[in-house]
Amino acid sequence: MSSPSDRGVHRARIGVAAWLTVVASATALLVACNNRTDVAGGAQPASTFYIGPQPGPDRTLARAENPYHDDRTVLAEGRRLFNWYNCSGCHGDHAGGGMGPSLRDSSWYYGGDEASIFASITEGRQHGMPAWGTKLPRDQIWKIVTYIKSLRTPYEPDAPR
Amino acid sequence: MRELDGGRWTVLIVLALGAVVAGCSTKGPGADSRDGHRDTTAEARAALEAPHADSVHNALGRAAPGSFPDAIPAGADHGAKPGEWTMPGRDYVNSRFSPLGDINTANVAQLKVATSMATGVLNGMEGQPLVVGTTMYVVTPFPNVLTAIDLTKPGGAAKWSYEPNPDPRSVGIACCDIVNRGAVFADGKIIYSLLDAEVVAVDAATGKAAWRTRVGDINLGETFTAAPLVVGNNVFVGNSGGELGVRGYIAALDLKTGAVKWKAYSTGSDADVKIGPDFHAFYPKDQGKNLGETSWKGDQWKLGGGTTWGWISYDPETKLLFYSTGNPGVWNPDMRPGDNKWSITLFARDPETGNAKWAYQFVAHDAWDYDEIMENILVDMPVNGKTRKLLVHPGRTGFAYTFDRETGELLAANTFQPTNWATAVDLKTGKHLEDPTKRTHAGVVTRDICPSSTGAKDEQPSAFSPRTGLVYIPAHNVCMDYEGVEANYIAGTPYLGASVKMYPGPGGYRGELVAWDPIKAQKLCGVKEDLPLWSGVLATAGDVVFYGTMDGWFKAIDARSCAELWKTKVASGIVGNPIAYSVDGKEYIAVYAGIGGWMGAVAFPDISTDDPYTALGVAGAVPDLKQKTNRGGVLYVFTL
Amino acid sequence: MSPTPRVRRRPGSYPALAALVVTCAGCDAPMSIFGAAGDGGRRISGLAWFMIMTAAVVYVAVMALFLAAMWRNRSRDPGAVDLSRRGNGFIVWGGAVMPSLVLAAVFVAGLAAMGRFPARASERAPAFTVTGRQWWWQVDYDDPSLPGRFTTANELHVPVGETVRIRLLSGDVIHSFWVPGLQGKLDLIPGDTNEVRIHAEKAGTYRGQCAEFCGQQHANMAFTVVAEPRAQWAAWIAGQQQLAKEPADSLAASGRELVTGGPCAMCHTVRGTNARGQVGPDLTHVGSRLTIAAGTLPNTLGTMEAWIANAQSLKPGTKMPTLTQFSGRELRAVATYLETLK
Repeated sequence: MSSPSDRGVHRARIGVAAWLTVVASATALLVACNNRTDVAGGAQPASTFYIGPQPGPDRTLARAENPYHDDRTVLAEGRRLFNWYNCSGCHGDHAGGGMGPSLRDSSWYYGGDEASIFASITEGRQHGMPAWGTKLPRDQIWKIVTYIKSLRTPYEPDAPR
Repeated sequence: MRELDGGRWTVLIVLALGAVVAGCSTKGPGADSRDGHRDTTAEARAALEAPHADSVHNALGRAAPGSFPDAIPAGADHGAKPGEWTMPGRDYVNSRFSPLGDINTANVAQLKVATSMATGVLNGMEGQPLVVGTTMYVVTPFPNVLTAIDLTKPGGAAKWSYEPNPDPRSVGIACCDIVNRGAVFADGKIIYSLLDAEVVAVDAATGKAAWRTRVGDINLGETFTAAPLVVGNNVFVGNSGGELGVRGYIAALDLKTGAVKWKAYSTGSDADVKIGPDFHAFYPKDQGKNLGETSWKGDQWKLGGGTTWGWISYDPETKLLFYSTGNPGVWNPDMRPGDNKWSITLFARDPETGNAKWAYQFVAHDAWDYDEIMENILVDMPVNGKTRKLLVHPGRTGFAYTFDRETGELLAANTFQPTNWATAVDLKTGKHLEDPTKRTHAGVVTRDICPSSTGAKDEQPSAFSPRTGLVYIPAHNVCMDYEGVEANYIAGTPYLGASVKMYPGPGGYRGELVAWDPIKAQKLCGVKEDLPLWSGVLATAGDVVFYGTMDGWFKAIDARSCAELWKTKVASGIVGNPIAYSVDGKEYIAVYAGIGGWMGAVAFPDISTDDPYTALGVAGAVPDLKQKTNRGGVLYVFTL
Repeated sequence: MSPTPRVRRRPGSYPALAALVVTCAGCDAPMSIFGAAGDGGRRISGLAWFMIMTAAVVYVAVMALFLAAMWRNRSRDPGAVDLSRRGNGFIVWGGAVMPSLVLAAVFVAGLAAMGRFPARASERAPAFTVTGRQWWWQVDYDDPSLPGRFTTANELHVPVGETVRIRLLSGDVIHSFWVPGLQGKLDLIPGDTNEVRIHAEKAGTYRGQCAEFCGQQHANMAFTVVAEPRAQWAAWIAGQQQLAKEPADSLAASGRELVTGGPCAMCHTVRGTNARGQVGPDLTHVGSRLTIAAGTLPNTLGTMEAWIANAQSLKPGTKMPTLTQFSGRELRAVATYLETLK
């Protein structure tokens, strides 16, 4: 028959085990959540040496880098700016399209990588896309680009239901 | 000690369970803070579709009003031959009735394709071709190419094309596809509008432009999609852009030179709206001074919409021009308190001076985008034994209205599709009896509003047959959820302020061709369709009514019984308006195939349907459209 | 048994006196409730004084009783308490009934103060709408009695001696409207409309503050209420209804070009120009305001430039972006133009 103190030690050991399990799982979860997945996604093309000009935008020139490339904390603000500047009016409430083309799908007239989307917003495009470069700070345009790249990913803020 | 331990574990378990339960019952993001009170159970839906006196479904055997040979006012077709189609609605009164009767209920089943021609454009082919003499004139959506087709050559041969090259920036500011609703023939010229807010007159014989006038400004978000009308020496044309805060107007241009003579605005002071001493609104709610300013907060009237992108009618008897205006700009009603005159208003104007004779505002302080730019069909029919000059207006609101067009008195109004934002119209005051729970507001989702913003019908025009006394209405049955949100005004970009999601209405169908008795204001019979009807309607003297569906079925039905007599599948969904014409004594029916327009754009590849709010909400109404049809503008001509 | 240690305590009244002195030192501070100049504020400060005095009296009385009890029983043995004796009725009366009565009296006084906030205003009192947004105040002078209607931001002008109704709306989260000198707090709740009444009795400038935590810059969401005689107030209203002044010199003119053609018009309205953005504060008369950025900065040319060029460092997280695109001269032109919009 175990003594009260034995039982006490036994209980204490169970308690410690339980806490260790909790701490271990929490750590595992935190590690998983912080796993910095690339919000932008997309594979890099294999490098090949081509002679002569290639169709499409130049990939050798230095292209603008998105300072918020990995940063999910700006998605909510990107969504707010998407509505504030009436992007949602032309491109749909959740960028599904309307007066302007859908930004949720994978087909892009002028390139779907971040630098190309930034260029389209900043420079404007034929057929009615206004040039926002002189109207919005670059910072805000990059946040909108980051939001657009988050569409149809689990990180899309205010996803459509 | 043992008791305490057991107690501690119990507490922990209870807390954990409590946390799980609390987590499960937390509302998800974006839950509305206040649901509409209307119950959306099956019971309520059944109540909407239960038969009541003004909307009996498919009541075959109920007698049509009869034949009214003088219903269409004399001179309405302005001297056009029976085999011609020289104005958008065939005549000034927009009857879309062809006096040709060779194709009739007995032989329409033998209709076959006589010829077809690709238009080369992949966007929505709204509008209709014109036939003058033996030449057909086709206007495409942007880039608004006008082609003349010699109908005497086998298969029809293009004679010439006029390519106006309108500004491509206008593509991005047209709210609802880059459509064009047709041209008008007058003074030897084909006159039509260009998307970038210009109007052009092209010599009908040579294809050279006679004049070209810039009327509006695309930098303010203005585009032109409507078909003009010519009365006397004036070309009348309306503007588009109610979704971009554009101030609406109707403009009169000189027929010979194209110079803008005047613009009658839809908002602003009485001087701007051309309301003068000879204006008398029938109802007290529309009487007052400078209502186009005072019924708005601050200077919201400058962004006040009231655009005029629909159909214009003219009465050769009373010499009045009739048209009605669109939504009051921003869709969020809380941003524009007041009655918002003169949006959603039917105007009667003197065509020479533009002065308004009377006006009737359908919806004060619109909260649903019920643009009322619909066709106003002018007919003379007996009411209570006495022939009166009527105006029939099948409305976006779900009601079909019959007015006395001399005074603006509303004689009858009833619903022709499930409607719940209002239950009836009080004919004494002219006001709709609204359901306050269906009024939309900022920051609140109001659910289950019928009809949706696209309305019980949109711009697609109805037809009238004097042989039956019926108006044939291409209707929708679509409902919506609507939430007002904050809107920001940036010139040339949308000024919307609403999150709208649409879905099919009650009853399991989304469209219906309704045969409507305008005197009794009730439905006689109808043909239910899966998809909303977005094509116009043609009525002929052969007692056949033609219309097309969004998945590409072109159909003929019996004008008295609504029985389907013939149908054929065309290359793309139909959003255009069929016409009847004859060459060398042989009758032909022509219609555009080519899906597009506001709702039809859901079929386009660059519209995503995983977001039902897409394209101002229509993606939720027809998510299956991509599977049912595809783009491709083709002109079809049928004959026996 | 060890002897009961004799406990000596300081008189408890010293901290109370010190608190009173400190409080009084803040009587003239802008956010003090004791310097009330409005009807509602006066009732609140009256109630506050009543409660302080009552509490002080009760405190002094209780402390006196406590000292007396200690002194009387200083040589008694705690272990010698006779538990069979009946309890002292004085304890019941003084310890249960009296406090209940006092609390009830305070409660009633509080209800009375809350219930008449301020004297019943006629329904014809002018009504303005204040919409709280993160982190500024949109003020709409939309009363039908005004000849024109206009919108301004962060500054409310009211006529002295008259009651003004203020409708409180929220554009996003819960805020709270608090002008200590004039009125108590009332929340701005999204989806609801609250109404507060202000009745200023003395002319002057009163500082208000958001009193419900609403996000990162809640602390910098202040506003100003200016109470002035009716004639002056009407003149101010008339001035605010005017469209934006024309620029007087070329620097201001180039500033206007930059404001209407550049990023400012994306969010701000300057009535009379093409700038009609509606998500930021109305700037038509920004030059006449006492502060900018919702009370964060005084309104001068220099602070205006600083705000435009680097809002994020002055008020981190604000919705106003940092605009680095302007050159020095352009910045001076924009700020000059805005400062001329009086």
